[in-house]
Amino acid sequence: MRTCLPPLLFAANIIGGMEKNEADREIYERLRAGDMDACGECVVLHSNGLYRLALRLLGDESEAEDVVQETFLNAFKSIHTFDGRSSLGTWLFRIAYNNAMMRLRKKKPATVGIDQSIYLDGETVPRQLFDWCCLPEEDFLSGEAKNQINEAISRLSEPLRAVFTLRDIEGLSTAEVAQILDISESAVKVRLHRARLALREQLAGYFTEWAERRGLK
Amino acid sequence: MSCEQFREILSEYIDGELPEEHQESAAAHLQTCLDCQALLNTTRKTLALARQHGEARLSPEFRAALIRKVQAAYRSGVR
Repeated sequence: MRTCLPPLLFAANIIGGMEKNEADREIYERLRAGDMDACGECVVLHSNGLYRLALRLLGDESEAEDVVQETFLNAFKSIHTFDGRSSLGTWLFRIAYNNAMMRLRKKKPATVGIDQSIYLDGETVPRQLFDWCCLPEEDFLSGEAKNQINEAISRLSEPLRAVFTLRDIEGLSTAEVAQILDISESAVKVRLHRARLALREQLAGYFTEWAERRGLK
Repeated sequence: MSCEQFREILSEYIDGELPEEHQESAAAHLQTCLDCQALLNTTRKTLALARQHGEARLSPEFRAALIRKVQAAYRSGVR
């Protein structure tokens, strides 16, 4: 059987997550001790992840920057209320998620509920089953491919997009994502599964056509 | 294992979260089913591409300014 990813990609991601949690614990201890340098390290460790989550949810760079800034400022003003039961990163992601969702609700018409998405809510039966992994690697690196992928993610419904971003792009654990979104772990797994299948289906259309044009199908 | 059953456990198979007996029967199904092999390969590739192309970052200027503001907020919070 042919596979198209380097082995242990997901295991590497989990190990990366563990290192991040250890760095997080150290930063938290130093913040409790009044170490000002730990503030900067916390921003360096988490700001890009928070930015990507906000950007995926809101689709606007400037608004996403505002969410990141508000998240850190609100969190650090009330750092004494953080009880350390979750990781610092999970706490920050939860604040950023709530902040982004509040903005999203303001943008949407009052008649549309937050779960009533007009976007893709998860394909469960694949229609395109051509193995387009045979395409040359440069085809996956093109600007057009990048746009296809980012558009496909943006077409996911908000609940699927949030889970996919946190779990598959940021590499957080199922338990962490459940805490951030305040849903059960089984709900995280169901949404992740739907998101992955829906994205795959969307990209399959594009890359299968591409393979046909190159005479590979 | 049928193709429909494989589709249902695809995510857990990718994440290595299946119980051993399901992992084995999924692997056995994959040996003989080209459609499910294609589904698995292209789903894994989709995730790799999303990660590869999803690396948006804040500008260094924005981050430097943010650090200064966060330090000020921290000072006011611990006082």
